[in-house]
Amino acid sequence: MKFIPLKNDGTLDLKAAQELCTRKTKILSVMHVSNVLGTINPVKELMALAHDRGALGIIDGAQSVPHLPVDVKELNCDFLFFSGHKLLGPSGIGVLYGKTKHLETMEPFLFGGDMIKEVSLTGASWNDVPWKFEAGTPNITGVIGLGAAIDYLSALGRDAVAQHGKELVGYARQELAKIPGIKLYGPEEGTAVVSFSIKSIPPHDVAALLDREGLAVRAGNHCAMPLLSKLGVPGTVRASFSVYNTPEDVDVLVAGIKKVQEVFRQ
Amino acid sequence: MNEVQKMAEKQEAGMNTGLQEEVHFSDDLYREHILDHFKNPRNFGELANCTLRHKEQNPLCGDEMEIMLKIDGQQAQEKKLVDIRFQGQGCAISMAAASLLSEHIKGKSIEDVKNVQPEEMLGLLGVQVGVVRRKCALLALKTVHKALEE
Repeated sequence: MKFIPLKNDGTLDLKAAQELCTRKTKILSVMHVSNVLGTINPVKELMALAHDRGALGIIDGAQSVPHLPVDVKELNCDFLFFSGHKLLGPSGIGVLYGKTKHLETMEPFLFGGDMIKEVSLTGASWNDVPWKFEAGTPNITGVIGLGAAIDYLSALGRDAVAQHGKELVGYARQELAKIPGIKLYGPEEGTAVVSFSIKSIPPHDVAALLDREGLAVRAGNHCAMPLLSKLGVPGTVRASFSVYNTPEDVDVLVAGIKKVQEVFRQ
Repeated sequence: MNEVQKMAEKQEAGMNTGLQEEVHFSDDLYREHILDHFKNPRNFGELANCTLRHKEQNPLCGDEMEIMLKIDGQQAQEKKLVDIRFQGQGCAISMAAASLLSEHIKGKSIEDVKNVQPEEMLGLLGVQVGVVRRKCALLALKTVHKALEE
């Protein structure tokens, strides 16, 4: 396994990727949007690189599908997946997209109702794609909930949602940068999240105190310890934005951080 | 400023600006003595010639805690914790807890140190610790107990 290195601004080193991805590479897997830095990775170019080397290209869309217009045909990925819980939908459900030609050659991984065509005492044949992979009683409520969430976001307009996210992150970065003692991570042009740390105040304490102000942020390693090690920090605080957030929420966050600093100045 | 002064000031503010929304943290978890122990941790650093050394991590938070113990005495009953140091990084609660615990157990018999209960540790902090922060508050005690198990 090889890793595409990060440049100092949090973007992927594409030159290094060219050398790391060779004819021996089987899979190039990449996250579309970083859950820590909000970086939007050039996945279309990376899928082309994978295909040029004869590899499969896989995209983690957990952070991109909720925040950006994503077209699997345009990106030309072999597989893409995302989760319901980051898309205003229920937890316990997600989507795995795969090109039909790949899915047809793959064996089922679960057995049960709906995934067979014919069964005898001595053999069985599999149903067509996608039913081949939909064994047993499905997560019906999850499917309906996720469908409603996708319809809701689509009605708002994917471009409008993306624009809203971009503006909020831009405004947040601008306002947060004015706070003395704050350090922002990730590139200026990100989406969905802003990661930061406050001088002399551990991230979990920032989060605990913001929580009391009614501000829900995430603190710690964000399930990305290698990245945090690379950044050289024992965790960051991360504010995440969605369609229901407003610039006023950013102002409340800024005021909250100033209060956290006051508590620690005692 | 002590607690009484704070309350008095709060009351006064309430009387003078009756209509103004009261904006303050319910900052019991971050009371002065906890922040004091976080900013000026006691028994922090390296302990040369320590008898035992143990490191624990809290992977979810990224907290790291290393405890060094110096133990004197030959017989099991006579064994005593004569010195303790800790180092690491973590939230204010886990660091303050380590500092408070180090003061509390230094000089105690090893038997007594082994018998320090989680509730006793929370008592040292003297604040209500919720479920989420409990593991932060107890990391130092866990590290000490693991060190003694070895």
